[in-house]
Amino acid sequence: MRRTTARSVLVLFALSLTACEPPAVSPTPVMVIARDANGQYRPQQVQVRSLTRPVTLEGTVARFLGAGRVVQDPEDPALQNVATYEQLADAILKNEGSPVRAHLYNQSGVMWPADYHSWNMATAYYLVERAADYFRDTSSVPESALDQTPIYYFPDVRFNGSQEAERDNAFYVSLLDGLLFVPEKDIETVPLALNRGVMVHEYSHRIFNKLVHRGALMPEALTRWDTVGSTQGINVLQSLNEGLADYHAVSESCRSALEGGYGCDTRFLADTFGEELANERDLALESRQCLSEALWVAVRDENHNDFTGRGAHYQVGTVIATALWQAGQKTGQQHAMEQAVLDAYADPDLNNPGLAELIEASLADQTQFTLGAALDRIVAHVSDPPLRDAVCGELMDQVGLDRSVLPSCYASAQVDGTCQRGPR
Amino acid sequence: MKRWWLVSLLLVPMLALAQSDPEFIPYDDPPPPPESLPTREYDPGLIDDHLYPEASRSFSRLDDPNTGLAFEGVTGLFFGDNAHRRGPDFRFTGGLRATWEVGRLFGVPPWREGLVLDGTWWASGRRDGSDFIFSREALHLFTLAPAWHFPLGEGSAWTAYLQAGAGIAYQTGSITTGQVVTPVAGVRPLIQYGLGLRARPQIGERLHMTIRVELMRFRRGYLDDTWAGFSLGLAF
Repeated sequence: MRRTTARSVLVLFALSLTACEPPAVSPTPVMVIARDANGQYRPQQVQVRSLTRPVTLEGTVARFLGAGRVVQDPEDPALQNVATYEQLADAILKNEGSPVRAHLYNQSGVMWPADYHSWNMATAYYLVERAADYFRDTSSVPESALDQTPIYYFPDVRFNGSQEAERDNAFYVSLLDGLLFVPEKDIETVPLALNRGVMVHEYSHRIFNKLVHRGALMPEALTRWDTVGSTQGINVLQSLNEGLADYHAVSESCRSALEGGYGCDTRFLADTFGEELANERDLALESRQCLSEALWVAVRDENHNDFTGRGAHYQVGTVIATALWQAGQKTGQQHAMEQAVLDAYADPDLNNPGLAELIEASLADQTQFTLGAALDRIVAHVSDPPLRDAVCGELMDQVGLDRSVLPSCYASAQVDGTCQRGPR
Repeated sequence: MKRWWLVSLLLVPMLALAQSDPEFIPYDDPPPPPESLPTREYDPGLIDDHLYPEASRSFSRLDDPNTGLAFEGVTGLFFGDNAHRRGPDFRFTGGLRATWEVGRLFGVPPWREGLVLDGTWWASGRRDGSDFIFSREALHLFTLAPAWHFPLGEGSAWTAYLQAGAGIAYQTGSITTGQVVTPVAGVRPLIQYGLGLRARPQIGERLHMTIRVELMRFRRGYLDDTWAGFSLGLAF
C-alpha cells in the first residue's frame, strides 16, 4: 500500500513537470503583433493552423532553434578537408542550437506570449505560415518546397572570418536551408522577426533556391560562374533573387487586408530600417527606380564580389521588382502577375522553359544568362495578353531593355514612358 | 553556566566522601538498604532523551526559549528560463521570507533543530525590446517550502539544509507597441528545490540574527529557473 502511494506521488510529480505546457490544437489561437488597418502595430489574435507544439514553435512550416552558432571562416581548419556541401554545412554550423521555449500563457484557450522574445517568435511563426500560404495559394509551388523551415533565432553568426558577430539582419542561407534572424543591437523600431515584409522576403529566397536552384545547398551556377573578371550570370541571378524577394514581400502584404490588416505595403522596410532604405526600395516610386547606364554596365562587366559587395544587386533587383509590380497594378492583375513570376521559376516545358532550365542551359557560358534572357522567361509565363504587354512595357522602360532581347513580348507592347529613356 | 552547575552536582558527593575519611566510624550494623533507588528524572545531567522526552523538551526550551519565528529580507540573482535559449535571462530579485522552526513542536532532536518551514516571496522585473516595441514583466514567486537542517558541528551557529516546496508564480506586465500598451498576466504552478547554509547567531536574550546563502531551482510550469542569493533577518 505504501509502495503504491509512493509510486502515485512520483507519477503525479512527473506529470506536473509537463502538464502545464499548452497543448497543440488546430487551429491554435495565438496572440501576435501585427499591423491593423491603420498601420498601427498591436497585439491581435490570429489562428495558426500548422503548429504541432506551441512551446517550441514547431510545426509543419517551421521549427525555431535558439542559441545556434554559425561560423564561416576561410581559415577554419574544419573547412580544409570538406569534400561535399553536406560536410561544408556541418563545418560552418558549429552549433545547431536547441528548440526554443516560448513563454506562453493559456488564457481561455488563447496562447498569450509572456515576454518580448516569445512575442517575437510567435509572431514570426505566424508570418512564416502566411508566407507559405502565399506561395501555396499563388501558384503550383510543390509542397516539397514548402516543407519545414529551420529558423535560427538570435544565433551567433560570423561571416568571412570576422570576429564580430552579425547584428541587425536576417538571412537565408542555402547551405543550412534555413532563415537566420541575428540579434538586434541598433534596431529601435520594429524588430525584423515582426516585420511581415522582411519575413516574406527571406522566405522567398528559400523558394527561389528550392525551385530555381532545385534546392541545392550550393547552387551549381554560382560555383561554375564564379570566375575572375566579369560574372554577369551571377550578377543577374543575385539581382533577380533580391528583386523577386521584394516583389513577393510587397505582393503578400496585400493579403493582410483580408485579415483586417494594413494591406499592400511597398515600404515595408521603413518600419525596421527607416525611410531612407524604404525610399531606395519602394516599388511604388516608379520614376525613381530606373536602371542607370552605370548599373547596366556593372551587371554586365563587374565581378560579383564588387557587384554585390556594394549592394548593386539590390538596386537592380528593385528596378526589376518595380517593373513587375507596376505592370500588375496598372492592369489590376497583380495575382496573375504573381502567378506568372512563380511559374517562371522552373518549367519543364521544352517550348517554354523557366529560369531553372535557362540557367542549366547556360552553365557552360554565363554570358547567355543576361537580364533580358532571364526576364523574358517571366514574360513568357504571362498568359494574359494585356498583362504581358504591360510587363513588357515596364521592362523596356524601367530596365531599359530593347524589345529584341524580349522575344516573348507581343508587337503591341508599348514602352511605358516613366523613365524617359530610349532603349539601349 | 548551566554546565558548571551540573558538574558541581556530581562533585559534591565526592567531596563529602573525602571529608568523611579521616573520621572513620565503624558501623555495628550494616545500614538498611534503601527502599528505592532515586529515579533519573531528578538528575538532569543523566537525562536520556528517549526515555524521558518530556524532561528533554522542558530543558531544550530552557536552552532556547525563542518562539522559533524569523523574518528575512531576500536578495540575489534570478537566472530565468530564456525563451530563445541563448544564456539565462538574469535579473536581480528582492523578497521577503517568514520562517517557522516548526520542529520545535516536536521538541526532541533531531526534529527540533532539523525541521523548518519557509514561506517566501521573490520579486523581479525587467524590460526587454526596442524603443518602439518592448515588454515589461514583473515576476512574483510565492512558495511554501519545508527544509531539513543539518547542524555543522557541535555548538556551531551554522546549519546546512535541503529544501523542497511548492507555490505559484504570478507574472504581470505589458507589451507596448508604439502608443498601445496591452497588459499581460498569468499564473503558473511552481516547484522549488535547493540547498543552503543558515546561521543563527544570538544577538540578544531572545533575539537571533539569521543569515543565509542559498541556491534554489524552480520549475515554473514548464520553465526552469535558477536563483542564487542570500538573506538577512531576525529570529525571535
